[in-house]
Amino acid sequence: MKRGILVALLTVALVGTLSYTARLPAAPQQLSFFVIAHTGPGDPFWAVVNKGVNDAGKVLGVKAVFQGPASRDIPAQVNMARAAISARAAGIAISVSDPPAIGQVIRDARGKGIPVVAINVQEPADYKGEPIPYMAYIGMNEYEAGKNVARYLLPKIPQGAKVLISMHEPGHVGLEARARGIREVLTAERGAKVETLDTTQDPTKSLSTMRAFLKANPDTKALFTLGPLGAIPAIKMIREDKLAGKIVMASFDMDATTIQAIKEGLVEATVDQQQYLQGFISVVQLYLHAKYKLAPTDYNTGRGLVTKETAATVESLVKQGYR
Amino acid sequence: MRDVGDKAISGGAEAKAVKMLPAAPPERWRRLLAIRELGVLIALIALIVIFTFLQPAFLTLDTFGDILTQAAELGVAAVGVTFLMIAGEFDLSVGSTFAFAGVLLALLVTRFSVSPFLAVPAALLFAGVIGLLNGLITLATRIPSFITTLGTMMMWRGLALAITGGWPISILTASTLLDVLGGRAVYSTLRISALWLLIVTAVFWALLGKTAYGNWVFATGGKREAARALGVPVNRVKLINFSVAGVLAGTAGFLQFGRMSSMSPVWGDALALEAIAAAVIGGTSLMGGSGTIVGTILGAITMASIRVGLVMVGAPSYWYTAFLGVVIVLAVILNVKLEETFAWRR
Repeated sequence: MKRGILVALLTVALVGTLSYTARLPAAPQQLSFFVIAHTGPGDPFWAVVNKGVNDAGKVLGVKAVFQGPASRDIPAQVNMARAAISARAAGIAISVSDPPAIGQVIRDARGKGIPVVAINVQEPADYKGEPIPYMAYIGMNEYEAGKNVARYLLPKIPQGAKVLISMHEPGHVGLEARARGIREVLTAERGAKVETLDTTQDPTKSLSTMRAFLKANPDTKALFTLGPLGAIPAIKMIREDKLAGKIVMASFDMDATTIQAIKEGLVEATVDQQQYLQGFISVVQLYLHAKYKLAPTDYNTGRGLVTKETAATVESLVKQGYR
Repeated sequence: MRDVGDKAISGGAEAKAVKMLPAAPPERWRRLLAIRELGVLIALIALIVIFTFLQPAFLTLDTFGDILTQAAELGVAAVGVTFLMIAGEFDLSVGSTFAFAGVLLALLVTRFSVSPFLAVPAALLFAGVIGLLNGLITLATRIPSFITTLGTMMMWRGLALAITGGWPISILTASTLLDVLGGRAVYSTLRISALWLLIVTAVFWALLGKTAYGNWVFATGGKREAARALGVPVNRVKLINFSVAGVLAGTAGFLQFGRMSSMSPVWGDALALEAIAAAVIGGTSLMGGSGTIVGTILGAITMASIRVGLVMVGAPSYWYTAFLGVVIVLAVILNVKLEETFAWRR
C-alpha cells in the first residue's frame, strides 16, 4: 500500500517535471546568449570582451553570459559550448580557436536550431576541413587592418620610399596577413620598396637587426611593427637614435609603451582590435536574430586606430575596461 | 687560456706530460694551436672579414656596440650554461628562468613598489633557487638534467605567462635601476650591459681556471668515478653549478629588462639552445669535462655578428636563421677537426 503511494507520487513528480521542461523552449521567460572563448576573463584582453557581453545583456534586458577557461584550453571551451547547447541557448558566439573541434560543436548547435556566430578567430582561409557553418564573423580582419593602417600613413610616405616591416614571428598567419595588407597598399599607392625583416621575439636582437638595416638603408622612411613585441624595441630605437621626424612608425595592438610613444609623437598610430565590440555586437546580432530573424553579418572590429589625438582618451578607457 | 684547457683534460695534475708527445710541432706553433678558442676565433675573424668586404660600414664602433649588447645578454646566460655543461649537466630552462626572474623583478618594482636594493637580490635569489631545484630533482631522482629542465622550462614559462596575463610589464619613466642594468650608453652604441658581461666573464674565467673549485668542475664533468675517488664532492659541485646557471640566467633577464624598460613573459624563448650553441661554437664539449668561458663569449659574439652582418649586407631576411644554423655546424666541425689534427693538445 505504502509502496503504491510512493510510486504514484514519483510518477506525478516525473510527469510534472517533464511537461514543465518540455514547455520551456516554447515560452522562454528570458532569452539567454552565451559567448564562449578559448581563454577566460582572467586575461586582460578577454576581460574587455566580457564587459562588452555584460553591457549588451543589460542594455537589451537579456541574459548574456561570457565563459572561457582560465588559460587557453580547447577541450574546456568545447565542454562549455556543449553546456550552452544543453541549456538551449538562444544564440552562441564562439572563437574558432581550433577549427576541427570548434567546427563540430558549431555544427551540433546549428543542427539543434541554435544560431551561432564566430568571434575573434575565424575559420582560416586555407582550412581544408568541412566548412564551419557559423552565420557571421565578428572580429578583426588582419589583412584589412594592415591595409587600413598603411592608408592612414600614406600622406607621410613619399613616392618610391623604402619601408621596413618588423616581423617578430615569421610564419604566424595573422601577422603575415597584417604585413601583406601593409605591403599591398604601399606598393600600389606609393611604389614603395617594402622590406620585411625577421626581427625575432627577442627585443635586443630585434633592435640591433633594425639598426643594422637602417645603417645599410639610411633612406628608410617608414617602419611598421606588428604588435607590442615588435614595437617595444622599435620605440627604444627611435628614442635612442633620435629618429622621430625622420621615420614614421605605426603598430598593432595596445600596451603601455606604445600608447606612451603615441602621446609623445614617436609613433603615429596603432591598430586597436576593439574587442569590446566582439562581445557587445555578437550579443546584439544574436538578439536581433532571435527576435526578428535578422541575419547576422560580418563585422570587422579592427578599424580602430589610436592616434595622438585619441591616445589619452583611449588610455583612460583602457583603465575603465572598454579598450 | 691554455692552462685552463690543459687542466680541463688532465685535471691539472699532469699538464707537463703534454710536452713529451712526439708529434708536437715547434714550441711557437704549439702555443698558438693549443689555444682552445682557436676554432671560434678563426670563424669570427673570417666572418668579420667577409662582412666588412661586402659592407664596409660593418667595421665601425657603432656596429660593434650593437653586437656586443646583443652578445651580452646571451653571453651572461651562456657562461652559466657553460659552467654547468663542463660539469656534465644541461639546463634547458635558462630561457624561462630569464623570463620569470625578469618578470618577478619588474613586478616587484612596479606593482609592489619594492626598493630595487631589495628587489634585485630577491629576484636573483629566486633565480638561484630555480637552478638549485633543477639540480635537486636531477640528482635525487637520477633523471637526466635534459629532461628535468625540459619540464621546468615549460613550468616557469607558464607561470611567467600566468602571472602577467601575457602582457609586458613596462617602466615608462626614467629609472636609475634600468640605467644601471643596461640602459645607458657608455659610448656610442656601447651599453652598460657590455660591462656586466666583462665582469661576469672575468669572475668565471678566474673561478674556472685559477681556483681549486675550477678543477673540481672539470673533474666532475670528466671522469666522475675518478673524481669521487679523488675526493671531489661531485653532487655539491653540480648543485652549485645548477644554481649558478639560474642566477646568471636571471641576471641576463635583468639586463634585457634594463635595455628595453619592459619585460615580456615570452622573452628568452630561444635562449637555452642559443646559449648551448654559443658554448659549443666556443669549444665546450657536450659530453662535459672540457670547455672555456672565453670561448663561449666569443661564440656569443659570433652569433650576434652573423645576425647583424647578414642584415647589413642585405641578405634576404627569412634566411638568417638557416644561415646561422649552417655556421653553427661549420664552427663545431672546425673545432672537432682542430682537436683531431692537434690531438697532442689533449
